[in-house]
Amino acid sequence: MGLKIAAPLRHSWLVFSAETKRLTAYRAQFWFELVLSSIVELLIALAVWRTVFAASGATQIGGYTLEGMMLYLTVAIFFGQATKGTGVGTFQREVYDGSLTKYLIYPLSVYSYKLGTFMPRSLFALGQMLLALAGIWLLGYWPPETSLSFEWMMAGIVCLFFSCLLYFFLIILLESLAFWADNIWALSYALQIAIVFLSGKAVPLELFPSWVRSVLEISPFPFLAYFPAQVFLGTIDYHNFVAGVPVLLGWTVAAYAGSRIIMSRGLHRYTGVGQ
Amino acid sequence: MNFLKRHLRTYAALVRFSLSRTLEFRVDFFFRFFMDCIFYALSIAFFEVLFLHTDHLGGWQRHEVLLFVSGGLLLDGVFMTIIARNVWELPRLVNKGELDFQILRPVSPLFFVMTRHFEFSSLMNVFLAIGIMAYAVNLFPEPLSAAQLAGFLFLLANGFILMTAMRMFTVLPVFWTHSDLGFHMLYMSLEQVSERPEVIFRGLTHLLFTTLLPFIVITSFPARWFFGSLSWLEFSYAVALSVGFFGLMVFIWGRGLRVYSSASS
Repeated sequence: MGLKIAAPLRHSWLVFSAETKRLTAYRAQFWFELVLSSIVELLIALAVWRTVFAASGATQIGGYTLEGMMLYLTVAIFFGQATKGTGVGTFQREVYDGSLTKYLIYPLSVYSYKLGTFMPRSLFALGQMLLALAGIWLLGYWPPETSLSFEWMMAGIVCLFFSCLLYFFLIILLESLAFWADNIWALSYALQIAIVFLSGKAVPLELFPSWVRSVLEISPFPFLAYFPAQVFLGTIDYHNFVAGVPVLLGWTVAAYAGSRIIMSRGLHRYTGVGQ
Repeated sequence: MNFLKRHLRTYAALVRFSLSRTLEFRVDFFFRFFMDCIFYALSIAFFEVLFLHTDHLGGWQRHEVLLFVSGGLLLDGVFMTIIARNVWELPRLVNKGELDFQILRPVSPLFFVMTRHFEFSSLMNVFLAIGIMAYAVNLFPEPLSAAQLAGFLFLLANGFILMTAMRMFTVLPVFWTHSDLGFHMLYMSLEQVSERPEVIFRGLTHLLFTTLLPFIVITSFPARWFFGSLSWLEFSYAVALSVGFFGLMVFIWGRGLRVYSSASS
């Protein structure tokens, strides 16, 4: 039993190391793009919200001051990048071009391999976020009403880990439809676009109309950025945290089970064309 | 004249081939249309949420922002239809040596590489964007003048040329770096600047995004012309900028071809 669990974990670790090396193969370009794209995203968010606050004349919108909004968005943007991982979209291509066969004939699980390629970007995003938060604090833009605690930060990082899994399983679930349709990258991309907005990465969910929030509350979207960001910042009340964690775990298990069911059905149809 | 005719005939043939391919993957066609619909809906929803908390954005009213967004969506639709996939595939052509087959043809290699694929699924979204634009124009209280509309469409076309050149700048370095995507990720982040109105940018960022990285010129300048707040000097600057950027792109392409050494053939 121990060996059964250890082997996939070891595979994941090996793939994780190889993927990290691949990502940083063009080191200068990798860091240039990673750092600059995050700075641009934060600059745009700052420009938008500074304008909204100035235009409305309000000191608080949806319970956020401008500094509080920027702190939330900094965490949500990096958490959004972390949950997105790397290698999204490759599974459906492998089904289409037949290269999925390698997972079927070698003692290698699709999940352990794909998870290994998915996670390195998450780690880079987390490291970048901690640097960005240090920058906000050093420049004196930290909102006085928010103070980080070690316990909430750790709880937030654990929630982020499960958010990464949830995103990963949701994408695998959707891309498993490639067993029935020839080319479904557009559907996968549509989900990714929807997640950016509906997860609270672009706008905190408190600012949405109440009917939209009611709908989102029964969806997995808030658990992909908003929920872990609120936990990390300690701005969630304890009751909501305790109620939210089982829902996050429930969605993760449901997405995993759904992806397994669809994949096992799909594999009956798989012909490994071209391989 | 013959040169132009040959290229037009080639383009017509490429469009026909793309149509045949699209008809082979009909489900993919609808998925792509659906994807763009989601993108369009969320682009509008973002500003709708902002306008729940303010009645203007740096002086731009809701209908003005909607016109600005629709201009951006139209540009995106046209770009996705004509150019996007071709630019996306350029790094692969260079790295795998497949560019050999393109540069040997009796047409301009740059023309052929940039027009090989025509995306019919995105063409549907061009019509959708035009519909949103018509709705936004209808919200303006003043009657529409011909000069207002002509200038707006002209600056959008100008923005399309600028956008094409800038997108190419991110992939042309593959001739030297041989990376798998060029600076694609960086461009995707920077492109968000063109999805936000000019009025939110101030000082250095405004200067940067109107000169070296002129994303503001692509989408905000056409909208400002429509509102009547763009001067002739800014209009001329936008045209000069797209001509300059396109010329620079052609120059870098030529340099890239000189260092291209093929890979496998």
